[in-house]
Amino acid sequence: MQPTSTPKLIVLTGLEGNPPVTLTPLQQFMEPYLPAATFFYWVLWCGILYYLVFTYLLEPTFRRSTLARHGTPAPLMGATKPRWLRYFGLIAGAGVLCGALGWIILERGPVSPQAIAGCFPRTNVQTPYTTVESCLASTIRALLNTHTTGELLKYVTASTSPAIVTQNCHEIAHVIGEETFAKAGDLQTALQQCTPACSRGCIHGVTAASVTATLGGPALTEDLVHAHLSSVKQLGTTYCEEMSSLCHGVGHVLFIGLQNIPAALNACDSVAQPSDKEVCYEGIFMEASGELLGSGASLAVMGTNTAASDMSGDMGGMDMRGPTAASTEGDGMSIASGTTTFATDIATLKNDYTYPCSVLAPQFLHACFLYLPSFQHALFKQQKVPSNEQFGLSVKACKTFLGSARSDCFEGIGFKLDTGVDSSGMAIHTGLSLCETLQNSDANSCLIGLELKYASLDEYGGAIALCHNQLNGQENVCYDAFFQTLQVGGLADADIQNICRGSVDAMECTSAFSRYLSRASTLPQYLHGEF
Amino acid sequence: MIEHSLDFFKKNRFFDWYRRFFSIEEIEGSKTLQYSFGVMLFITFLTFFRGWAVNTAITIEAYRTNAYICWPYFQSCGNYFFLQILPQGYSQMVLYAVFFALILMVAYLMYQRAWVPTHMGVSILWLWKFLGVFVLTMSFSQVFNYFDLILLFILLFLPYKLFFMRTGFVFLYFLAATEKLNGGWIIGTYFTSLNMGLPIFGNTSAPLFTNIVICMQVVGSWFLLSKRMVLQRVALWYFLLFHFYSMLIIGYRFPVSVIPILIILFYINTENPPVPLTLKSIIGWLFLGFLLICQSVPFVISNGNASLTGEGIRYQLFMFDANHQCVINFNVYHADGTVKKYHDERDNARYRCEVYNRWFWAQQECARDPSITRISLTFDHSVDGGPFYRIVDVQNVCALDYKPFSHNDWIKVPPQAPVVGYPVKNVYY
Repeated sequence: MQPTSTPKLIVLTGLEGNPPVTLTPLQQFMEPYLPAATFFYWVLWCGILYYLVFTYLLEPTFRRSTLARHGTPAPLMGATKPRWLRYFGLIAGAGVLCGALGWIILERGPVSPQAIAGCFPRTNVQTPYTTVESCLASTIRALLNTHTTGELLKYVTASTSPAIVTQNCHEIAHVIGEETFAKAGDLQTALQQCTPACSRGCIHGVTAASVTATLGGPALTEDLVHAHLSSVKQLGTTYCEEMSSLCHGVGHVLFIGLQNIPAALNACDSVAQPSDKEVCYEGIFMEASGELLGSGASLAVMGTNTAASDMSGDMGGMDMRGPTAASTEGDGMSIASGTTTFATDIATLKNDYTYPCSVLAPQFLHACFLYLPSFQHALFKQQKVPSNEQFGLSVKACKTFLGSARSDCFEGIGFKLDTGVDSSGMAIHTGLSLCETLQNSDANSCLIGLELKYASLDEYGGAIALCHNQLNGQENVCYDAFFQTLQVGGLADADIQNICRGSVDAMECTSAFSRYLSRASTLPQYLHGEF
Repeated sequence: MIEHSLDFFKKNRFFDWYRRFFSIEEIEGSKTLQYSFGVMLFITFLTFFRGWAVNTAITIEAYRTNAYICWPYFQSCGNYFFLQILPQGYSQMVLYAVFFALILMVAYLMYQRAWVPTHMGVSILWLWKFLGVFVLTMSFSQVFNYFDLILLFILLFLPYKLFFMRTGFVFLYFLAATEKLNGGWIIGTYFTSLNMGLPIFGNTSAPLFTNIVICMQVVGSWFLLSKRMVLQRVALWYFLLFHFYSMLIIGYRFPVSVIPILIILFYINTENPPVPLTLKSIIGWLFLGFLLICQSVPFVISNGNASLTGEGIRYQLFMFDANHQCVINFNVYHADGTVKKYHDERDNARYRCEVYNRWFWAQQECARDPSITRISLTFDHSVDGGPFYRIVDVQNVCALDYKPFSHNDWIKVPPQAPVVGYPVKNVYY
């Protein structure tokens, strides 16, 4: 979904009617190289200063004291000096400049954090997900030679980083986690280097890599699809018991291996504790939508006897049939078998924008809806749907659901909306304005999704500012969802109060938190979509 | 009688010592330095005439009404104000009348080629200007005044005057380049975030021209000293064109300080004095080193965020450092429960949006009005069209100290400073 409305701006008195600040195409091209260019200029500046001081001050003074005589001072330009001294300053200065140029060449190469942005397509040209992932893997592998995992995670969340990086921070953090594990060699060491940034993407990545390694091979997909389902389940149970975040990684791994959503969901059910099932499901949908979005072609996602075409036509249906992934249930068979018979193609989905949520059992819906916009986006791209029509189609799809499914669906829309800035540095707070076009509880659900997105990205300032701008009681829902998400994420009350103190309206935020605490036990679980 | 007095300057032993101590014989023997003296005198007149004579910045009334601003390193400057201006008084007018008489007298002395008394007269004017710019108030801390004071200091007090005038002039260009080594100039957002864009050339090519400016200040400025005529003249014509072009944006004042001296030192002057490496020259080299240190202070204080925080920027040449916009909100809380709100917005690109100025005002208010219990301050600042960062958000600014030579922790920088909005294009005036 592309931004379609005017971004929120601060317009000072006297500047009414002036356009927003944007970068020209040349500036957009130059922007990623700004740190390198700045460094180059500084080295040039220092190099010239050094050269001049050496050539016209230090060297003649040294020469004079050496020769112990006081002749006519050297002219500013064209002085006669001993041969070895004459060129020493020049060579040294040139060395500094060459060093700077070398640094810049390296900076432009894969060892600069800026190179992460280069892995994503600059235009709307479709780039296979595997291409992006492989670029990220090689880039981050090289970066980890010169940067720590923490530094890279800080970079992908920094407000000064390109928007394409911050908006994809979870996916990038996954790769950082995988590469961190590859470098560290064991789970605990790798996990210690991860931070909770980007919705714990690094932890997920480490887990996925660890599961893969434990199964015995370096190639993630290949080895998993040849692994024994009982082995996967056994490992999955171990990881899910250890930490909720790891269970999300297990979800990724299950889908990578099974390439079948219902089968992977059933596998989640058997490996995860009830409280961790949701994150396991999310891992599955995240992986499935990511692969579908990237490949744009064939992807096996359906369960037994459920052809995609069968479920594509009726958008109004509330088909919540449970997955029938019998083929993967029995021990003693390879999990790869789930992918052979039921492969489908994105082309066959036509215009079913409710897929795959429309065919899943209720317990999977919340996780599914969080990633439904990604599935939809794959269809939009394939069908070349204009960007200004996409939001409307997503809304139309959500309106085909009822009750909590509908709430979850609108929450998913909000969760997928943009919150950051685009490459020109311009705010694209379109999320809120798009949510505001909806009615009643749909608008609230959308807002909650947006709020969860902010919170999951650790953009607390933005999250509170969003609530601060709400009217007509929506601010309460907004704050409640935010505080609840933070608490679920493990933040103590004191931490949340500190976040409030540093916010756009400290007093309002603090009092909203007090209200939240007094009624927390009666509130729905926003994170799980029980609005 | 005047000519008789001039003879006195020539024969008196003290004045003979004075002449030698300040190397005035260099002025006597150099048309270039004499012309420079004339230009400097004119610029000094311009400084007083254009604003200082009728400015309230260092008057008792300014102190009384809290309409003044001291340097961070001399925050009690107001205690030393002694002048008054109409309608409260006329002592400042008297002082500037005396200065005008002195300027006229110095002009006559120049005409008579009496360089010792000329030097003394101009030194008095320089001293007052120095006090005005760097001691009594921060209101006059504009870069063109820095240029005037630095070049006149060299001309008045340093030996090897011509060499250090020429080298010092180029060095100022070179130092000023450091303020441009940021996104505002390297990718040109300073100008493209202005509503009018880059005059004449437009926004598309803005990065090209801004990088030419940087390169010429870093590298090309030194060609002004070259013995190779082609290089020297190319550099000279470039800087002349540059300053004339800059008039489209900044007006006359800075070009008036620079263009005549540029022409005198690098076009009219044909001497290329050797590099002095004597004991006597040490003071000159130390002075250039001092300028270098001053230029580096803000970088050290605020770790590259000087344009955003404003910390230390006035210790250096800060012309065109960045395009600023800011929103400032004060809430003044009184003991009786009333709250006065002050809201200020600055859309002018060249208004520096320094937190210190607002902190200083609040400090004075708290100190003068016992009914004030606290003053809260939020300060949102956008640089070069970037996001508005809330760099200050404090409940009681009166309880905070401002450190002049190190970073003040209560002034936040990204990522600690949150983004509160985004700007539209602004204006320069």
